[in-house]
Amino acid sequence: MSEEKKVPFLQLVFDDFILLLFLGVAVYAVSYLIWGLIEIAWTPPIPDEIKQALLGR
Amino acid sequence: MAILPPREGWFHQKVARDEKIWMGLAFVVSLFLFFWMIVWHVYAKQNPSFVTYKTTPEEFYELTQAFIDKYRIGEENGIPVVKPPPGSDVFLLARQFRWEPVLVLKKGEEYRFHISSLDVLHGFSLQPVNMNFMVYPKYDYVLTFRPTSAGEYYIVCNEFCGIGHHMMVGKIIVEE
Repeated sequence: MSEEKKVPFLQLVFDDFILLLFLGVAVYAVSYLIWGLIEIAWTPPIPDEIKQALLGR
Repeated sequence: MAILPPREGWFHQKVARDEKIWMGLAFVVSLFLFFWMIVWHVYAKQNPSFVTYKTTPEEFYELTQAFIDKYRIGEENGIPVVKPPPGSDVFLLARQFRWEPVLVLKKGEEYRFHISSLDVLHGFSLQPVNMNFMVYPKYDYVLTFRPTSAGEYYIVCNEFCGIGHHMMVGKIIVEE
């Protein structure tokens, strides 16, 4: 019984195909979501030079 | 998923040589595709290099109106016709269900297009050359644009935006 407890963590992951299926979708879903949020957060406003050239203020 | 479960103790076995070779080949192919993507972007000109700015419908409307007032040369079917100088910032506004203004551009000159929507998601589809971009409200999508041949071009909306979607047609006139 004590030997069974020593199953490495990665082996547990690789042996569970449902978990691998879930990770295969979830890892990319989360990464792309975070990437998108970073893109949105870093989008700058329209530069003042462009606004001044048209609006004159 | 394998048909049979792996043999007991597979995790501690050495990886076979043929499997290492396959993994190596897959890695090399993925590296090649990664760098090819960059080469394709730079040399094939398939993807537009773009800049996006945050805006609001009110701000973009104000800028477009100021742009129209500054360079207006006429009117066509109730839509102002605008002739901006080469090298300038050009504003194109999408709204249910029209594109404004009509643009008169010069062949071979560069313009910086600012495209945004006043209400919902629209699609900028330049015909007949078939260049397509999405037009979002609250974001100013900037494209560097150089018309290479003279003529009349039409902008059709290619994202369903409501009951009058099929009538949403704008125009760009390119002069010699």
